[in-house]
Amino acid sequence: MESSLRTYRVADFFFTVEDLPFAPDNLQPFLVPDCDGEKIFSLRIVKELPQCDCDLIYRTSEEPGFPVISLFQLTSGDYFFEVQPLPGKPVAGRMAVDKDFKTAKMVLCGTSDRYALNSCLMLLFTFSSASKGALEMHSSVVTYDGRGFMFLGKSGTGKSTHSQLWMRNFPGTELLNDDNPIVRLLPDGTVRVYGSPWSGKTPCYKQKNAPVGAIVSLKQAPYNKITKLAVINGYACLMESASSFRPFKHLADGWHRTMEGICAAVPFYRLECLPDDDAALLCNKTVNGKQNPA
Amino acid sequence: MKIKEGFTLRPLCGEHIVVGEGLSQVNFNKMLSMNDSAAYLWENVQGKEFTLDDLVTLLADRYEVSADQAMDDVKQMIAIWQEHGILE
Repeated sequence: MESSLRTYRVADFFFTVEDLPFAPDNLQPFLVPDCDGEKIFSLRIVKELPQCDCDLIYRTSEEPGFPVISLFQLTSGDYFFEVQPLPGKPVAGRMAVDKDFKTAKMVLCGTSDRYALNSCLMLLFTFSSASKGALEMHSSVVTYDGRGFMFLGKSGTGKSTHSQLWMRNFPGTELLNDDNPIVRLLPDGTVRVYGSPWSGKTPCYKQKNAPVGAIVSLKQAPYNKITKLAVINGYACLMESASSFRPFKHLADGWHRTMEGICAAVPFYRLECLPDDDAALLCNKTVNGKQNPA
Repeated sequence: MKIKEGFTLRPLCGEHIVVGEGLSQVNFNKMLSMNDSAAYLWENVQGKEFTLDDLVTLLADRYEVSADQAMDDVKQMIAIWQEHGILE
């Protein structure tokens, strides 16, 4: 295999991937010629990793339909991850990471290489950017009138549907990301949302970003109603929607600072809604503070 | 009694919350809101063994409150902390 180093820019952070045996479509829009900013990690694909003598310190709960991540720690303090696409499936990727999440090597096991690569990239991104004001969120996000509007909610709540309703009703609305955008609290206190190479089932991989206009937590209901949330409830929504696998206590300060900064800068709403046009009209009118098109 | 490892008091835009952090509380997916006096007590007993009387003394030192009232308040607060599995 020819040695190759690719550099990617996601949410204005840079990372490199070396010796990748294929070119993933989702990463393509983020490929850049050089690293001309802050590099947060480098990953190298290797044929094998030495067997390590290490302890399992955590495994995510093995719920049907959800991936399983196992975390081991070596005596050196370095970490070792194994990812499985579903409970009972074979391990799709193994990754060894130094304790600062800067340098990683991984093996693709041949069963679900794209899945394994993206899972490991997301883990690395989440951990290595934690102290830098970045959060990976579970959200569908649209841009409208120059701002990003983020819809949160548990899987199956209708986040994607609500984004689609905005696109149908408000000309100029664009889907920025349908599942895992990155949110950043910038040094001047403003909050921006960025497209990413990870977007769930929707292939929406955009090298674009926008200032966040509002964050809306969705809940299914037999009616449409929108309520502004107090800071503390906004924080609870962020906790629920920020990448749920956060086992490292030493990264918690960074995550908290980011979430607190977002709560201070961005209005939060709860939308109890039906999957209909009226829900989108009510939401848009309220969060945007402007008249709707007739 | 003692506050379990992994629970952290955090300031949040002028308020106080307790969240579970790190591997020891990775499955604690709740957040507790604390008023000023509860946050004050938390700060003073975190990481230590303490008794109800310790809390009553702390409360009486800081706030103008009768011993009986302080004991009632402390018992109520501890019941909430216990209900959420924060103490051991």
